[in-house]
Amino acid sequence: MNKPEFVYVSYISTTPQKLWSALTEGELTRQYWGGEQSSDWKAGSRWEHRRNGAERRVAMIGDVIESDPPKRLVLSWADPKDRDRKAGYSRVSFEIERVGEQVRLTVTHEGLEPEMLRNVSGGWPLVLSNLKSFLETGTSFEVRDCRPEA
Amino acid sequence: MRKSKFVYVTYIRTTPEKLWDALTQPEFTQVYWFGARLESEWKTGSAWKMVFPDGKVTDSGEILEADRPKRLVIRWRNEWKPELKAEGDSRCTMEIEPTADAVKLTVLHEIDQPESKLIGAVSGGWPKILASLKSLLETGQALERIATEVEATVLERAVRVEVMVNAPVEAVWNAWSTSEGVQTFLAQKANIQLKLRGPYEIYFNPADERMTTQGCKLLSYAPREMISFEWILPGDLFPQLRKTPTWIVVQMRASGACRTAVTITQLGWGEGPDWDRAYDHMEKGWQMAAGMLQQRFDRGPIDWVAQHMMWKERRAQAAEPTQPAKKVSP
Repeated sequence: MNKPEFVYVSYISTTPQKLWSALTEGELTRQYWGGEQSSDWKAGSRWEHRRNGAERRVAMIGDVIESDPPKRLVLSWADPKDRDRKAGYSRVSFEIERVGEQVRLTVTHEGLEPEMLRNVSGGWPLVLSNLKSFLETGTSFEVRDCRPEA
Repeated sequence: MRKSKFVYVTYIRTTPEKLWDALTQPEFTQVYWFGARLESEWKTGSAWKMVFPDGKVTDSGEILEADRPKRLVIRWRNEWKPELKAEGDSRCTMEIEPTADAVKLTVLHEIDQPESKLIGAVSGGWPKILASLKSLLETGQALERIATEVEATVLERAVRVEVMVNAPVEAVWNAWSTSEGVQTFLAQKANIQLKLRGPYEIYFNPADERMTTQGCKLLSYAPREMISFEWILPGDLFPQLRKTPTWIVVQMRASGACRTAVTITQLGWGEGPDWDRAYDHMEKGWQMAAGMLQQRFDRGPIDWVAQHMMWKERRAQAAEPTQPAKKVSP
């Protein structure tokens, strides 16, 4: 049986390149995602999300499955505590398409265990709303904790 | 009974009151909701409708709950597309909750049936509408109207067929813009003059006037890019609709030296069951024509004798009332 998936579509007034950068550069993700996404973003490489704050705790990890800038990025996704538990890994795809003067971002998070699905269903809208505000207004709103478990 | 549901959550930097007003004032909704005015008194029991600039009411219903600026629940029925209208009432709940700096908007749109086409249709629309609303409230500017992506339920209905053809764009242009060219793929006889308001007449059956587009004119063109012409519906199948010309826009774009991407669009559709039947017929017809265009460049000009036999069969099927398929015992 297929595990459930979560899909979120948003339309952002920006360019595919700027959106790709916003998703992959730690300096930028720090400003709206509550932490740094870091990796060299090549297929096969590892990636991790390190929270803002003194501790700089690693909150999420995974591998880069596909990387086709600035159109498509596919990551495996897990909580660090599930690093060695295969079933704990889910999969996130970012699809970036130009639609007229805007860009459509489709985030598909699949292979989720039920509790993770609940968490990401709350987390993604917050992060992606913040991403849109960040790209369109240059600032983002305070996100106390945008870890999926928030 | 299983429901169909669509849920969308977004956070917008605004106040609950401003968000409520943006959702309920027609002057606002016009800007971000593809030009639609949402009209209502916005009190429990008030009527509600969605009206487009041409006066078309695409959706209607009633306000089930209105608690400004926290909660709005609308009974929502589509009035525009028959198969969506047939599904009946859906329910749309909008909840507005303040958080630290932003307002959380949750839209839940549901209906008491599984695999609802209505919910399928609005699932594409909501992210666009809400993204445009968010941009409007945060930046003062809504998103550009995403015309090419909007479902037929919201914008003008169009048949649209896309096909890739193995020929350079000059050859494809010739096929669409000259009598000889059209006669190699679309119909046995054509009368085309490449000038504005010149004839663009297709004779599917030269012996039967009803199966021609006699009297139709060329509307516009840009060489090797676009050609547009009138199109009257087949008189044997849709006699009542024949007086109202629809129109076709053919666009072509080179995809490399030897391939061309072609898009055929038909517009000018009216409303009602006859028009719906005509729409389905022409959609199939243009898909077939697209295949014939491909065939013409892959295998050579069409053999009209064989093609006429095939068309005769198709008409026999289209003219009959639909018969339920006879069940064959396993």
